[in-house]
Amino acid sequence: MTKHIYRARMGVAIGVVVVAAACTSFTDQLLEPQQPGVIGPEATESPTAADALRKGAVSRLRLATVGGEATWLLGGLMTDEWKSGDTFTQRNETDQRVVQTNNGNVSGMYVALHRARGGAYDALASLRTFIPDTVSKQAQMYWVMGTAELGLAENFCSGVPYGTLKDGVPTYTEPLTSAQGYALALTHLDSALALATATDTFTVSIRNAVQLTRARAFVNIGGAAAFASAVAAAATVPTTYQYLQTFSLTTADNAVWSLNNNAKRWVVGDSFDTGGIIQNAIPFASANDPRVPKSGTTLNSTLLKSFDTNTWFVQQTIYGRSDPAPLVTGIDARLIEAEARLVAQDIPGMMNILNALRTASQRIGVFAVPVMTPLATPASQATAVDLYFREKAFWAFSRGQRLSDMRRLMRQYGRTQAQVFPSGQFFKGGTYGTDVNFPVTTDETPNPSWKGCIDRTP
Amino acid sequence: MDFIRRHRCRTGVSYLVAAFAWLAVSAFSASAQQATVVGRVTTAAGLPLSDTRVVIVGTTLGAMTNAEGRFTIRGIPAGPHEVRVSRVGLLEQKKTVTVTAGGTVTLDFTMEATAVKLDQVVVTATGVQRKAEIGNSVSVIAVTDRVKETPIHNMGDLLVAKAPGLSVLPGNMSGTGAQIRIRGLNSVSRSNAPIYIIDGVRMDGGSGGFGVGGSNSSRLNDITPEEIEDISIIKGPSAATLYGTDAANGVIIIKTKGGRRGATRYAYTAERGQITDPNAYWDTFAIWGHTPANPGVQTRCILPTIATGACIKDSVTTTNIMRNKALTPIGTGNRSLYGMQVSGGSDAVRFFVSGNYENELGPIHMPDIDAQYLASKKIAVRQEWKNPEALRRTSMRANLNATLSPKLDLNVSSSFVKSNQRLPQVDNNVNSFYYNAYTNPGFIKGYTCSTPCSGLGYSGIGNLGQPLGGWAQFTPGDIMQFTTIEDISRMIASMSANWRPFSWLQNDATSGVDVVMYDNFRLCRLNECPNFGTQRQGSIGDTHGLNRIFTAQVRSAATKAVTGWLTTTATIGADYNNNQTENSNANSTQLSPGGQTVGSGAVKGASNQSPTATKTLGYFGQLQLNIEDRLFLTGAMRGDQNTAFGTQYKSVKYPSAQVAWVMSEESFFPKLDFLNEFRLRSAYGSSGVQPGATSALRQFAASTVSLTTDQTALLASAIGNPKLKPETTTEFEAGFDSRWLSDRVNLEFTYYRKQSKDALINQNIATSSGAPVGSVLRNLGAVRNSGQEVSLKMQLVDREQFGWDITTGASRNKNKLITLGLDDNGKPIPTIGTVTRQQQGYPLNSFFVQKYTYADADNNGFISVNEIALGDTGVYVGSSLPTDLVTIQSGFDVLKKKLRIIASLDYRGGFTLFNSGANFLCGQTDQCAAKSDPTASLFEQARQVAANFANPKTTYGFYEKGDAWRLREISAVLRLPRSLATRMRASEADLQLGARNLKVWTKYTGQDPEANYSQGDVQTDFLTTAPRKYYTARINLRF
Repeated sequence: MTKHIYRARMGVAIGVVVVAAACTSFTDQLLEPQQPGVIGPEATESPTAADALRKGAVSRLRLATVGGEATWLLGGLMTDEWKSGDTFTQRNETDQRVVQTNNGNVSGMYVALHRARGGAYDALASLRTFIPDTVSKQAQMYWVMGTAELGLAENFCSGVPYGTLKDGVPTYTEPLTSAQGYALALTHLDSALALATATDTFTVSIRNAVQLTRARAFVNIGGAAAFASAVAAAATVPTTYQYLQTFSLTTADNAVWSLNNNAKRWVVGDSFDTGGIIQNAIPFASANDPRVPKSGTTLNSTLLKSFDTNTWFVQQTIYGRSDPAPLVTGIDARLIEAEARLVAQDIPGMMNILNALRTASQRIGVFAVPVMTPLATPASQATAVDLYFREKAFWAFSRGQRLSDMRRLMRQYGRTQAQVFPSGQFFKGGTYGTDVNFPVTTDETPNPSWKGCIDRTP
Repeated sequence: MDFIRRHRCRTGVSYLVAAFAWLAVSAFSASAQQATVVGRVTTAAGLPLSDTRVVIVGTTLGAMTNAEGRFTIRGIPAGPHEVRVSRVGLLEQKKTVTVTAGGTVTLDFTMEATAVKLDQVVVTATGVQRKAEIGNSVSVIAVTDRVKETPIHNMGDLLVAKAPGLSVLPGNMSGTGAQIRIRGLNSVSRSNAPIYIIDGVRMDGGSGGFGVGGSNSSRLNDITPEEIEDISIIKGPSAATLYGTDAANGVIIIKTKGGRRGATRYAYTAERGQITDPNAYWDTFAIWGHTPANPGVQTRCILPTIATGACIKDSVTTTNIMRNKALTPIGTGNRSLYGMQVSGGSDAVRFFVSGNYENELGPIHMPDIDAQYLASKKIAVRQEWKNPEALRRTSMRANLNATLSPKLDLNVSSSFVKSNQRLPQVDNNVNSFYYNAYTNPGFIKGYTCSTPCSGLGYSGIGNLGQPLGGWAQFTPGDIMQFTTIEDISRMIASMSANWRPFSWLQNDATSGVDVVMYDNFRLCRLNECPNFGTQRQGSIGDTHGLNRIFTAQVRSAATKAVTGWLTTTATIGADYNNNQTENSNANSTQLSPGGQTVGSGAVKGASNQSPTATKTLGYFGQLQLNIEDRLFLTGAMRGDQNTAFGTQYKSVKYPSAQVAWVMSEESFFPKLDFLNEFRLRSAYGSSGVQPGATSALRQFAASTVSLTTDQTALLASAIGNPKLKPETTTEFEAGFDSRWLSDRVNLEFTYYRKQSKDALINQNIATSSGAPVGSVLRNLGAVRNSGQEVSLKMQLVDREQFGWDITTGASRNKNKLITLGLDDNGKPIPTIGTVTRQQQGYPLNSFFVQKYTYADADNNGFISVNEIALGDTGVYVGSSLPTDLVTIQSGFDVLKKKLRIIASLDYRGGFTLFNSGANFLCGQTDQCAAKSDPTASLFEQARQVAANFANPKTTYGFYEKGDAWRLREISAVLRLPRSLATRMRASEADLQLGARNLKVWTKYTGQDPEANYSQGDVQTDFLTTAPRKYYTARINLRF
């Protein structure tokens, strides 16, 4: 009996002890987190990490411009620069100018621009905390913010909010009109300018980029005073200056090459297609302009069909796979100065600047633009406007400026969308829509202050 | 903090520990005097029944009969006892016996077969349990019989249309995985797949990685059906409580075969078969015509331009590359399987050893015409190009059951699988041969272009100068130069010990591991593959990974007969799971001539590792009251800690309660001749879904960026949520089991209702905040599923010459999103998503689009855009989740039951499918029927006009009902004459002829209502493979 009692107690004890032991001694050990793949916030608290966050913000701006399907490419698709050789509805409807608010690719652009802002905010805070004396790098972060904000205002309708995120908590704000967006961008660009005062190569480059971006914001605001400010900013930048976004085989490809030459989803735009004439469109593919070198033709291309197996393929040859692309360039500065002359109805003055660009060797990235013959002076202000924007379209091909220029043609030069944007029969069926900017996508829905576009005016 | 964690851990099970201790300490006093019961179990014909379970009711004591049907149970406390004998397919028997201290009593049983084969025991979290004792519905698939009688080729085949409430969408290519869901969808943002347990250890049942456009391999298919004894489907939280966090979507418990007492037995299986793909792939059309302005210029017309008079039709051509014998890459595949099983053993040691070799070549192949063209260009055609869809799998298993002493058993289960799988370029993929076939010009005029093969903008020549013969851009000869391989080496092993130191105490310990080593390999050698982008410069991607799940469980159960009518069993235990994944990937491009390693590429891409770990530690306790062996009350609690929980959340508790009552054994229950047994059951319980391994953490990602030179950057990548806790689903179910008409009919009914709370939802963050991610996982919402399940088994005829049985199952599930929770401002989140949307009051993943109506107002036979009237936007058009599942299996035994014929028919209905393939093709090409077939219906015309020409465009017309009846299986199993078996030196032999996927009845206009490549929650029919037909012959020899 005693033996049984003893064994019984032992059995009970073993069962209870097994559970109890697991519950106490080993709990922490068994549940010890093992996530070596995770970089936590603690790893970002150092000068080196602050600089790495800065580089991350710069890379996010690249994604919002030429490194991804964003302002340079999607903005160009809505205009006459590019047409869709793709199967994706999202790209086709952008080309057709009937963009839905749930368009995933437009969402990608909207996200990329705001994340560039967010990355810059984070990096700026970290730079100030861990390497406060690197003011030029802080200036660069203000420039990233301003450039992203300018991109949002130039491409999207009125109604973009510009909130913030701190410690994982978002702060949502009221949507701004496009004009307010330009003003916000200028605020951050002015902060950048105030910090970029040194004379080292990096700072000078940032300062030039800031001035060019400021000038572009002023141009968007329009009016004599703004153009004066734009010219003042642009004048400080030499024509040869370029702020280059670089690429490498081991990191990322130039997205113009990637989506046009490589994937064949984008096709260089033209003034006609299988559906007939595309009204208002500049014939980038068939003009044989040396600033937009290409191969293939809009009909019966030797390069055969694009991704969708239907559209004849035309590819640009400005950018190769890893060729750098200028986010801003001194050529832009001269073009702004030329437009200021146009606005002042100084057509000869405008032509002097435009022909000076044409008759000298220029570079767009590493692409050397051959010297061109000068253009004759147009006879009227209206034809001067046409000529200026055509010249600018070739100089700035697929550099994210065409959409804002088309909008300005309506906003500042009194033209209608039917006179400016590709119109008429859409070559993939149906007709072109009436969009002149992108709608803010449904990604913004969680913001209680956001109710959609305030308006879709240019 | 540690104190709090430990304190909670203790309090969570403290009451049950106390109950266990009380029972244990009080019970031993009754166990001092012990006796022995011996006996023999035989059939009515006097034949011995081996491996039959004999137990002393109310104790842990029991035994299995040996080859002579004999059993011995020692250590029985003196006094009266009930002895129960049970075995699948036999009527359970009980006898009362009184034993005296030190005495031995002999007790023999003669068992009678049941008309309907029923499973008597199921595997639960607390061990093997009689089905009669549990309060929830459990479906058990007798796999040994299924494999013997029906054409089962993988786990998807085994599970599809087998149990009410179990929705299975099988994989359609060789080795691709099935989408498996039980009782609807619970989770908005996390997986709704069940978890898998094999021989006591957690198993990876997810999908593997393939870069072919959508189709993926399946880790579930690594398991060989031939090695399985049975599968238990634990359907919901009410039954899965003790499986804890991650079990809310149900548990599929796989029990592999074990050894049998007696002489060593050998079984040999050989199977050969054919695989065909007779699906009616869409025709394409071309309307050749001219414009009024240029009658001499040939142009492509489409119906809308003909309708407006802008184009005048001259002629129409039509083609179908997929059915063109010369051009199609779809041929006849084949499969073979060879297996051998050896089992046997003694009372002390039993063993089961198995080996299988399976080889399947899918019907996708390189057409001869392409191979000949490549040969003419001096390009050697590799074997993997000829047969890009292939699966080769070798599996081995050794299971050992040892009785080390009358009180200690040891079970070892071990398996190793090696598989090698290739898939071709398919699905959502520019290199997909479906895509290149469907976007053909609508005509074929000769492959070699000796006759005109161009026109309407189609040159007939590819960008490598190759003749296309009707293919859009690339031919199968180009496409199949891709090599995409998945290589798997997998070991699943477990060991369990069962120690019964006293008649009232049973201790179990199980530990095991599932280790999956994989290598996903993708290769385009230099100057191979379609000439798209930089592909022909050569590229390679190689991912090596290791997924490891470690499981350990201990539990103790104490049983006490409190009075003559009440027996209690208290169980406590601990359960630990450690799920670790790690992989490293490398890639390079611009390969050297002959190069096929990452090192042979000139440009090395970014390589990475991604290790993660999720660990769960749970404690559980259960108390069961057995009242007169016919009323069973069970209460249980489990507490879990988990590394995926946020730092501000420590542990979760899951309660459950069950009642099972065999009413027909009560004295008040009317004794009806036609009703043999009636059991009521009900269960309530909850279990959870865990967050992602790192979802709670704020994270940054390292990135290499080019800033003139390549430099390291940091990017914020997740904002994390320290409050993250598991999603908890609580379920109530009630139903009955009944046997009727001399056990010829078995009817089961279950009603269930389950609702989640703290549902894990990826709450969107407004982009304007600049957040690095679009969402953060939060515990926000609630989802409800409710439904009914009916199972009916009938032995309609059971004569010597002829037998007829029918097994049917039906279920209906209603899914509803109760709430998406509140946003940061305390306002209800209205919706997530746009077209495929989560919206309060509707099923998960419902479709919302803009409706339209149409009418041929001018009666010209065409629908033009102005004959489309657009309706409201964002209108609910259906749910992607099937509500109704029906399965009917009918078996006939003829020729004195030497031949058994089985046919299985099933139905999936009550859901909407997006026919995205048809929508895509009409959007991208003019060759689809709706645009270019002059006989296209107004419905077809309207939906393409609305999708492509209306403003705004709407795809409403492509959302169709996916309801379908399918003749899933037909098989015939012939037991060969002994004389014939003897000639093969076998003691028994049977021949099985089987066919799968023979016929489908549906109004769906896509490829097939089961065309799908996604293992996610929403079926994706987009230029993908529809179910194939399998015709197989299998011979089973037993020695």
